[in-house]
Amino acid sequence: MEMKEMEKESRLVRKKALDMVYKAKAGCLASSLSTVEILTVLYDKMLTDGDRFILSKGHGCLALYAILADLGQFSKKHLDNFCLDGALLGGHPEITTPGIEASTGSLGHGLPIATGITLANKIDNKPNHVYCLLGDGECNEGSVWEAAMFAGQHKLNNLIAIVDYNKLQSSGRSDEIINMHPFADKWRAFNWNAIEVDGHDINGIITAFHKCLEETEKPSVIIAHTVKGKGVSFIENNPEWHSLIPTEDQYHKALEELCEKQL
Amino acid sequence: MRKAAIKAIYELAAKEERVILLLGDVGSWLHRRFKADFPDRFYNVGIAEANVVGISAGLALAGKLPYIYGISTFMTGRCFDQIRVDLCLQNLPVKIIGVSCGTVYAPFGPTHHSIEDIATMRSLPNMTIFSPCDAIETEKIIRDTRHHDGPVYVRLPFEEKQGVHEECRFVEGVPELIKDGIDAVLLATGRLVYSSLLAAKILGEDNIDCAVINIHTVKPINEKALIDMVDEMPIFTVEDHNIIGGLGSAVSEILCENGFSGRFKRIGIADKFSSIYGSLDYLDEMNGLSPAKIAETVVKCIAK
Repeated sequence: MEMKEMEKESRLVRKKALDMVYKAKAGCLASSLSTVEILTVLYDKMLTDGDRFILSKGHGCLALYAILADLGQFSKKHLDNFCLDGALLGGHPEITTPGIEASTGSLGHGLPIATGITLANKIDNKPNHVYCLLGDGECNEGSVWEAAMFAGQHKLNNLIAIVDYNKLQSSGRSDEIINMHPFADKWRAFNWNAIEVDGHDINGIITAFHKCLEETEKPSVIIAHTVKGKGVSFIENNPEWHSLIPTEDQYHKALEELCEKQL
Repeated sequence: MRKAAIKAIYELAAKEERVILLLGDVGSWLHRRFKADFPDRFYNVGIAEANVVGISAGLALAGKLPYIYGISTFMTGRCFDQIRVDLCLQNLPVKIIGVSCGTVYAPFGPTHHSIEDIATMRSLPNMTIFSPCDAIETEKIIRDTRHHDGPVYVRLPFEEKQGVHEECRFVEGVPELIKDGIDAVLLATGRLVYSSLLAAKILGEDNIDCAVINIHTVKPINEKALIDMVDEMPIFTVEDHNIIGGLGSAVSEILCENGFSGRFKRIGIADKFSSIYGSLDYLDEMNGLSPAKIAETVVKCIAK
């Protein structure tokens, strides 16, 4: 896709995420909205045959579902049934769903799993990459750093983590709960290549990924500075919106901001 | 039994390239032959149990057959969520070999005892649990795990006091009659199968003819096979594990649901930490798990 198409795709993905949450009265909308550009770039520009992507911040799955549906992994009607009785798609992704590589939702699991897949690729001399998207609050979990230490120790340069660094977690501002700053330095201390980028700048994200592909000695992490709730003004950076469901009025206002067409 | 496990894992790796061995910084010296001969398939992940399991899940997703070797209590307790979600929910072929189960780490104290592992692992869908009673059985069980498509937990002490089998008759899930008897039956698991045989000998001197059955597969137990083997005689379960949630609970579930109305008692750790140090024989005596104490419990129960 060209830049304009990717921007349009990002808006459409946001609209679908909003629709899903509004209809189901369930789902983590704000956490999904901050992932959109990262995932759009990943699926359009980066992932090749044999590569894998693990969404470690499983609660932020709405954008991923929309993108997987667009790619034909499953019918788009499943987006309409999100969280409804007997639905294929629920609040956290399951490995049994086409296109989903791991069952996540319990935080801190994705990076160790991604590390294991990367290790298997290394054993088999496969050149494939494994990408893993984490939340910043998720990085409170010790298991994230256990995996980081192992990956750094074993120089798993085909492992590329991305942290959706939106500075909020479910109870509020991350720096008031566990302040991760200086965040990039923490990764570098464990022998990672750390790159910081605006998490909504498509060109910046593409450049960052390509820099990671050039790395031959270390795993890489892209620290994507994002806005939780990006795209809807009253949700952006608002800690209250971690698990809020839009009212009818809010839904329509959000739609207006995202696109012209309403349900 | 630990040596048998190490030998079996090595032989599996020699035949099957997909086998990967992961340690939680335990047993590196014991697995030195594996490390020397298969260096690209040996990983000491460090003292990081959650990561060991997570990495194993990733390896399995990529088509490998991971074997984890670690201390029972840590490799089941510290990473319970990883076992639950990464291995059981995703039903991946990862094998956890947990050594020093029960109170085997007697001199080290209760932080190193594993008296909850059967309870926790049993509660997980898709998990299979083996508890072999001697080296021969250990080797057979671990060899067979190669064909398991889902997660497996093998619970081991260090070494057997004495072998129970001359020849292995292991059939997964099916309780094994080691000694027949008509007055009572001891359903035992792991190292206490041998202790139960000694207890049965003591009981024999009191004219109590006690059967001993080896429960090597704690989950799933073949219910029909178990019910067919016991009748209304007094039944005792014997385990180096908390009486809550372990073998005793598993057997009682089956007996209750099949209308058993005879006498039943769980012999095991009485829901307390063994905050004492000493030899394993000493702890067994204190915990009522020595052959003499097992026999004493049977006599008291039958006499009521």
